[in-house]
Formats: sequence, C-alpha cells, structure tokens
Amino acid sequence: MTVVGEIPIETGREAERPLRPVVNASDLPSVVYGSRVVTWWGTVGFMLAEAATLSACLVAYYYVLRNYESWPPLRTPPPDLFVPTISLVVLILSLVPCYLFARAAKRLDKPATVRWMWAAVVMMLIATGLRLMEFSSLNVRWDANAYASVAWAVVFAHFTLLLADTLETLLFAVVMQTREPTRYYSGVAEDAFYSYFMVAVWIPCYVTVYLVPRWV
Amino acid sequence: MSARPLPAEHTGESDPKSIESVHGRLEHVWRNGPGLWGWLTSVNHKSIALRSIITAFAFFALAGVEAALMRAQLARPESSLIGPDRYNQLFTVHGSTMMFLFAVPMVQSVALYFVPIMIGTRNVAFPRLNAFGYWVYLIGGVLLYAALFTNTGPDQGWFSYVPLAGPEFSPGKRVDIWAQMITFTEIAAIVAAIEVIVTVFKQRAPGMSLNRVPLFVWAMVVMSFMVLVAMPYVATASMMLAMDRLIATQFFNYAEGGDALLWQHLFWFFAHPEVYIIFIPGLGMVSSIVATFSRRPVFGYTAIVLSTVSIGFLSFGLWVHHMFATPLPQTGQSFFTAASAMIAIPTGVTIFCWIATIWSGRPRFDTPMLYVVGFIALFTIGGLSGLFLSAVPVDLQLTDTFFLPGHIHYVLLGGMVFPLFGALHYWFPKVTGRMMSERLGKVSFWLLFVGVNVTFFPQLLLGAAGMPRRVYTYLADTGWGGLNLTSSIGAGLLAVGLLVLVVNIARSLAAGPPAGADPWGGETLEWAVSSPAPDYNFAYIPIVHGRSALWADTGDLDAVSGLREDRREVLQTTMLDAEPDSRHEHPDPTIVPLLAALATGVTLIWGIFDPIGFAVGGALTFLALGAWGWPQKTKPNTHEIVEVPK
Repeated sequence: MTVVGEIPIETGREAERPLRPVVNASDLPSVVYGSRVVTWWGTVGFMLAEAATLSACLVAYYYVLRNYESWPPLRTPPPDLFVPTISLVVLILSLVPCYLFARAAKRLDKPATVRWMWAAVVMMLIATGLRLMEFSSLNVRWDANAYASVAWAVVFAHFTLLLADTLETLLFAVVMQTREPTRYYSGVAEDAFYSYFMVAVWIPCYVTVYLVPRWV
Repeated sequence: MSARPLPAEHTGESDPKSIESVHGRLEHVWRNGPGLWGWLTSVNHKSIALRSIITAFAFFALAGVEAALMRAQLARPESSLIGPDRYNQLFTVHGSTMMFLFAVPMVQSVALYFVPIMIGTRNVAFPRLNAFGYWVYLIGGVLLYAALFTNTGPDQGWFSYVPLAGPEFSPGKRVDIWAQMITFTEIAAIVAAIEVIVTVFKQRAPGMSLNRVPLFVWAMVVMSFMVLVAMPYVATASMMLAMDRLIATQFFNYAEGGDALLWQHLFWFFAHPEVYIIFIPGLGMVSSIVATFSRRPVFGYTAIVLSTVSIGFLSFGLWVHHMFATPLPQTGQSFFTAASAMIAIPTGVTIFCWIATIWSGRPRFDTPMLYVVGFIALFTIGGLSGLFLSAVPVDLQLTDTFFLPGHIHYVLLGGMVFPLFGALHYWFPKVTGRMMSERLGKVSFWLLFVGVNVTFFPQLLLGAAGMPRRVYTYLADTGWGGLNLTSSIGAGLLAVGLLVLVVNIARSLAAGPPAGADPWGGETLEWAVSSPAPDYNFAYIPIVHGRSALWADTGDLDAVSGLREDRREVLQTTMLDAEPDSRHEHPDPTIVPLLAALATGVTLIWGIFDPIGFAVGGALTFLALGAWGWPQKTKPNTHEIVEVPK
C-alpha cells in the first residue's frame, strides 16, 4: 500500500470489499410522491425532450415566416379561431379534474381518484376530438406551401402529446378502477403533473398558429 | 439519516455464512431467466448494456470495412474498384453508422453499464425502458444495413443536406430509410439519457452527495442532458424531411416558401452538440483512468465539473460555424467564431487539471494510460486543425475539401475512440473477470496511434491542396496520388491495430489471468464488488464517506441493509445529499419491452412506405404500452408503506 497525500492507495486487491451493515432501510416508505419518486424525474426528462421537439417546430415556423411578405401567404385565409379556442378552454378546464384526482391519489382515496380520473378522461377525449377538428380550422392543406406545413407541424406535434396523455390517463383509470395497486397512486399523481405540462406548452403553440397570422 | 440504525447485535463484522445466504437469495431474485427467453426478457442493466456495447462494436466494424473499401478505391487515381453510386452509399452509411449506431449508443451503453455500479445501486431507474431502448436501437441499425445490402443504402451524405436529399433530387426510398434510422436511434438515445439522469439523481449510495459524484458519472449526466435537448432537433428535422418526401409537405422546398437553410440550422443545432455528446463521456473515461493510474484523486474536481457543465452549455452556441459557407449575416459569423473560441477555455481547464494530476501523482503507463496520452496528442491536433476552420475566410477555402474528414477524424478518434479503447482496457477485467495482455495492448495502441496520423494527416494536406471530399476518384495529374496512397496505407495500419485488439480480446476472454475484484487499485465503487459484478451489484448498499469512495475507507465499507431479498428492491436517496429516502420495487424480467420495440419498428418502417403505417403501428404500440403499464402479478407478503404527503 502506498500513500499519496492523506489518502492511502492500494495497488490492487483480489477479493471484493466486505460490506458492514450499519443502517437499516426496512422502515423506509415504498410509496412516495413528487420529486421523491423516480417516475417524477423520468417525466421531467420526457418533458424536456418534448419541449425541445415543440421548440424545433416553432423555430421552423418563425424561420419560414421570414420568407414571406405576408403571413399567411396571399390567397391563403388565416385559421379560424372558434374551434381552436373552445379546444384550448376545454384543455385548460381538464386540469381541474387532473388536480383533483392527483390530490385524491395522494390521500389514497380510491373513489375520488377514480371518479376524477374518468372526468379528466372524458374532457381530454373531447379535447382530442376538437383537436382533430382544428386541422380543418387551419383552412389550408399541409402540402399547399411552407406556411401550411409549419402550421400543421406545430399542431400535429402537440396532438401526439395530447393523444399520448389521454391514452395514458385512460389506461391508469382502468387500472385504478379494476385493480387499485397501492404503488400506482404515485404514478397517477405524476400523470396529472404531465397534463399540466402538456397544456402549458400548448399555449405558445396556440398563440403562434392562430394569433400570429392575424398580427403580422 | 432518516432510517433507524440496526440493533446492536446486527452491526459489526458480518458473519460470512450469513453474507453467503444473502448473496444466494439475491442471486435467485435478480438473475435473468434461463435460455433464449431469459435473454429476450432481461431487464438487467449490465446484460443490456453489454449487448449494446457488442452491437455498437459490430456496427463500428461494419463502418470500418466501409472505410477500408473507400480507402482502397482512393489509393490510386482513376481506380475502378468501386463505382460512384456504391461509393456514395459507402460514405453516407459509414458516417451515419459511426455517428448514430456506434458513437452515441456506445458512450451511452458504457454509462448504463458502469454508472449504476459506480453510484452503488442495483439497476437503472427504469429497467424495462432500458431494454426497450436497446431493441429500438437494434432495429434501426438492422434497417440501415438491410438497405445497404440490398443496394438501397442512403447516398446523400451523413448530414443529408436538402435539396439534394429532397424528393426532387433523391427519388426512391434511400433517404427515407436514413431519416427513419435517425428516428429509431433518437428514441433509443433519449431513453438512455433519461435512464442515466434519473438513476444518478435518485439512486446514489447514501453519502454520495452531488459534490462526491465521480467525474465519470458527472460527464455522463451532462451528456444525457445534452441528448435530451439536441436529439429532438434532428428527430424533428428528419421527420420533416421524411414528410416532404412522403406526403409532399414543403418545409425545405424553396419554390413554396420553404428553406434549405432551415435544414442546416435544425441539423447542426443537433450535430454540433453531438460532437460534445460523444466527447464529454470521453472526458469522463479519461478522468477515471487518470485518477487510477496516477494513484491520486483528480486535481481540481470542482473545476472539472464546472468545465464539463459549461462545455455542455457552450456547445449549443456553436452550430453556425458549420454553415460559414452559407450567406449568413457578418455579425452572426463573428459571434459564432467567438463562441467557438470560448469553448477552448473549459476544455483547457480540464486538460490542465489532468496534467496536474499526472504531474503530482505517481503515474504508471499501462495501456489505458497510454490511450489517455494518445487522446491528448490527437485531440490537440484535431483542435488545432479546427482553429483553421473557425476563421471564416479560411473556412470558405476549406469547406467541402478533404480537410474536413481529416479534422473530424482527428477530433472523434482522438476525443472519443482513444478514451473508449483506454476504457476498454481499463474496465475489461471488471466486465469479464479476466485481464487483457499488456504486451498486445501496447502493440495495438502504437499501431493505432501511428495509423491515425498516417491516415488523417495526409487528408488535411489534401484538403489544403484542394481535393474535394465525397468524390469517388480523381485524375492522375492532380498530383494527389501520393498523399492518398499514404492515407490508405495508414488505414491498413489502423486495420492491423484493430485486428491485434480483437485478438487480444479473444485471447483474454479465453485464457486471460483472473482479474480479482480490483486489479488496478481503483477509487470508485465498481472496484468494490467481484468481477464481473453480481446481477444485483451489491449485497448491501454501500455508504460513501468521501469523493474517492474506496480510498476514503480502506477496510470494510459501511452499508445499508433492510432492502428485501425476496424481490427486486432498490434504495432511493435524496437528490442533493443522497440520504436514504424510500424503497422501490423493480419489475421482473418481461417480454413487453421487446414487443413495444417491435410495434415501434412496424410504425416507423411501414411509415416509410405509407402514412397508414403510422396509424396501425401507433395502435400496436399503444397495446404494447398498455401491457407494459398493466400491474404485474402481486407477490405474496406485499406490504407497502405509504408516506402520505401533508
């Protein structure tokens, strides 16, 4: 064994290091919530990647915008506002049941969790249906010109997030209704957390696709 | 710590018999299933990372063969060994393979193998997602090579510039296959990045506060965050390219208001950080090797961590220096020149810290350390050749010449492959339980080191002489024959060096001397366990008392007991201080990740030919994910302790 500074350093060792238990972890909880649980951090990771994806679509939108004298291009009508705005309102309102089922999940209150989850699923399904109608509210086909392509790209990219979140909430609702595994309560709370993100990132997309063509 | 201490009779020296029974029970719970089914259903981080490393090496070998074919073609002027179309496929697939199927998966796999052991946990945070990532990567790689072998290999260059890659100039499915290969590998990369980040943030051994995390692990965390921000850009861009080709969107079509430069911006906003995504893990590997072989902790821990983080940030501000030959505003050019120069500061700090470590330690120059020295030399030449390119007027002269391949190979072979080979020699004993031959190791090092210089220095000169890149031949009276022949001879040296390395690996696997737990006297936790590490890594979770976990405690290691031994349970700790916080049960082996990956494969491959594939495949993927999310069978004696938040 040699010593460098204060630290003695061995040159090699055949056997593994013996481990001496001094702390017992058996009393630690197995179901925790929020940033204490790995799924919360995993969700944050996916949020980062998805926000980057949406930002790439928005970058493309504003980059292409510079190529045009008028936006939307000549002979292309601006998008309708009615359906997209209703859809935005439904999306924002769907966060209320999301908040309520997350709160119920943290109390392990099965009836309230399941009830609010189904309410959220119904509202998100409505939002998904409205989103499908939004594509026709764009008033232009994706292949008409670059304006149409970037507008479709933004709406479609977010549509995949909305669809994924809706299906995930649906799946969780079925599991909680039929099985109710205790450890899923924390995942249910994360599901609401993801919905907050999904709705929040839609707002700059909505402004870009539906309002910017009326402003510039 | 919040957990209660053991009763007095359980502390102190462990009874060897009882520790053996602990090992036995954990072995039973954590091992893979038997046979092929066990292989397909494994969720063990070491099994999956190892197969991913082997897969990445296989792609490295294929890309090496492509390089050898190209060098054979260019060895003399007007050679007719390979025609122009085949040559285009070769350089495109070579570059795409090295970037997307070798470099990134390789550094991530090394992370997924060693990060959990180094931070003292039993598996990655999401074992099934980890398996899913590997399968998706494999399908993407097989897709590219199935295309190449059926003469449908992409032929537009690895950065796929439009309009060349657009529907007008690249009809057929070649570019679509490239674009979809990108999607596969980006899914895999993002998944692996999340694994690394969450595992490091939530599953560190008690006592391993953030300021004690090994430098290797820091490097992998920074790389992973970069992956999360950069990869979605190329995935989005390649999806737009695929849509331009499949359903006639107009993203890059100038005639309809689209923009070819948009592609370049989106692509390089990914691809410049990509260089650092590949290089920063190399820094981490070098830090591990330098500490062990200098026999002292790395000098300037905090400086290196901050440098690594700042390299990560700065690398996102450099992408436009790949576009100096496009009509950019001059202010933009100046900004990106300055930013390019600025990244030299943290890189320099890191290199000076290593030199200080070697200088003040007692270095021994075993093969891994030789690769570190080789890395510093080659990366310096790579960096200096980059200086030429950062000057806009010189760049205009050198763009699209052979100077570029020369530069990028110095940077990537020096910055990534040499640290990787050092890491291979360093960790081979841990992974296999056997030592590699030092003699063969040194022979292959010198062959590779000389080979890199003989291959790529002539390419820098050829570029300066005006030889364009990506041409399948040249005329004799250009005078480029001699340098090209030299470069091809260098490629031969590289091939021989790699062959010696392969022989060394094969011989060591079969008959290398047993390594023992810790052949080098390492400082980090992977050297505390047997070689190879057991399926559960640690019988008890070690408690860390310093930055150099094994050098701070020279005798027995304090540890945490109380995790269940009848199911797969891991300890979660707090993010900053790594105090024990909760227990988390991990899933048993399952086929579901493979099914989900196959469904993803159907989606993306069918989608190349018909948009309906996205719908059908998407539905299949949802079904697979449903099976994934469905609760596994409840085991007996499950007793959840729920901590209800206030």
